[in-house]
Amino acid sequence: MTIKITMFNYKWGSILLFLVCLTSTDLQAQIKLNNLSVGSSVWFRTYNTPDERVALVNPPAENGELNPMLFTSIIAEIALGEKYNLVSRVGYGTNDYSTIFTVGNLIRTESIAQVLIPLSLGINYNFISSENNNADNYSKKAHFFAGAGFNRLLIQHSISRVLSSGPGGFNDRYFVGNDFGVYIHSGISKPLSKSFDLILDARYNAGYYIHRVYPDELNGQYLRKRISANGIEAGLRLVFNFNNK
Amino acid sequence: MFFSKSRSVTFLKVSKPLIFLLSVGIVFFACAPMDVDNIQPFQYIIKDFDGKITLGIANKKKPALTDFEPGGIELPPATLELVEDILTAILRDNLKDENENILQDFAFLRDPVAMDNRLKDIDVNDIDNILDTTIPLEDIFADIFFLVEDVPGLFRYLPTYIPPKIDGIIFNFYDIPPKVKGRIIPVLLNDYDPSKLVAVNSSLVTPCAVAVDAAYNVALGNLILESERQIAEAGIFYDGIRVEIADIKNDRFDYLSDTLQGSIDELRRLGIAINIASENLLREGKINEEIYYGIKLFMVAFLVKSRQNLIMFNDTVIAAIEKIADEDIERVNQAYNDFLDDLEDLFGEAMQDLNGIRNSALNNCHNQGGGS
Repeated sequence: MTIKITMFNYKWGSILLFLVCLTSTDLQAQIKLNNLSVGSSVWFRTYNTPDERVALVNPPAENGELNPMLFTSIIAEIALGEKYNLVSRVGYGTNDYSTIFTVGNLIRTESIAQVLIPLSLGINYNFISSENNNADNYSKKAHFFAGAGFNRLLIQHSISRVLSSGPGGFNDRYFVGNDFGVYIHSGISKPLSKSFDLILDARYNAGYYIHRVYPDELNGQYLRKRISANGIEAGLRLVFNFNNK
Repeated sequence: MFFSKSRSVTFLKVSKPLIFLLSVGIVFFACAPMDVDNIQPFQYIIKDFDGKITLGIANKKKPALTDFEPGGIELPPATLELVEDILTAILRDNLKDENENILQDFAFLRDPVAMDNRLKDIDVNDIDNILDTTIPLEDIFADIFFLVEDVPGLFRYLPTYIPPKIDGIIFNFYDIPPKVKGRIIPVLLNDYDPSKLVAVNSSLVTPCAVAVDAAYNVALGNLILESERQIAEAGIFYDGIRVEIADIKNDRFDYLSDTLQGSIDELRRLGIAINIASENLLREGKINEEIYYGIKLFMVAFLVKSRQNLIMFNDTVIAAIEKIADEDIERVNQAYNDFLDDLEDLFGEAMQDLNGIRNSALNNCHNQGGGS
């Protein structure tokens, strides 16, 4: 009997493997959830492409300008030994974009309500001295860390069109997509107590995603427009340490 | 066994974190990237033309058909009186004096040596032969007619030919105007190619202009359909009149045929009756030989003139019927052309309106700017 390998099997098989690993007490003994943190950050998106308005009518031709987006994130770190952490992150940010196109007496306004969910997976290296590694002093001294990893951007666009007159307007048509990116990451962690740390960190995100555009002129055919996901992101987060003994 | 049990347990203990990392990575990278889809292109809906372009109804006039009076062969009152006197004299003692004088004058014209024997021998066959236009006329009968023709006082007693009249005017063979031919409506669209006007200005929004031209073409198509409908309707209308004209033409030929045969029958009857009357009157002694030959000579001239009238009537009326049919067809063609002229004018007016609306709609397709 042959087994047909499909994307579906591959995906659900890996999820099943992941769940098996999580429920394995033996594995839990070796891999420990180090901390969990919640924080906010500002992603100063800089574009080497036109921004999201490229997906709307009458898009600007030039590259997008600095576009700060506020993100809320949950980050979990799993200790992979004394100085390495596996860092995973789920963020949530929104933004709005709109364009106006006036043809004669017809004013067409199109807008995007964007939800951007960056998923990150990477490894951090903690610059911890042996003295600092002492359990007694651990919570009393700050340390630096640095790392790198992959981003996965989940994008949801709710697109609306408003017309000054006539038919053709609508509200909230939802479209989703995703793509990959990379990041480098560094920061400083300041212990506040045995259980809580405060982290000030920054990362540089790099990547893009593809948006389809159906120009009026192309009669239903679409173009694939690349939208940059570059930019420095800086934030502050509160960390709860599980490994606080 | 490839692995011992103890070595397998050790491998699993060491590799479980790697398996975990591998599975996390697989989950993270499992799904392929997906483009963010988008809304479909905007469809410009142009209603500027709706209900605003109509083609007027071109006037279809039925032309007045040609008035025709066929004419014919007529017996003047003096002839009728003379013939009636000859035919009824047998019932009386003699002819009226004035008619005897007239017949005496006829008799004076003849050459007795050359003609009397032939006049005396005239019978029904001779009468039929004189009236039969397909048979050559005997020279002696033609000579007698020419003798009478030269004497107007006697010639007036012969049958007269009434020529046909067309619209009250005596038909003239030699005055036929050139024919008017029907035509077809010219192709008007050559002047109204929408593609010539698209995107002449860089600020013209092409999809909007395309939508305008799509709506324009629909309106133009409706105009053309309506004009074609009117042309087809007019074609049926005027074809009906042409059929009517052809029917009238056939009826006239039937009338001509009937009239010719009726005239021949009547003239033959009169000729036979006069011939018999002349014989009876002579035999009864109610007329002398001079009057007898006068009657015979009158009868021959009467029949030859009738033959001549029959030929003229036949030829002229046939030509007149053909000419009338042609002229009526020309009138129909002219009326059809007038209809097309009217339709063209209406079409041109509608096109002016259509192009005006199109220009206005295109002006509304210019990008007026607008911030983003």
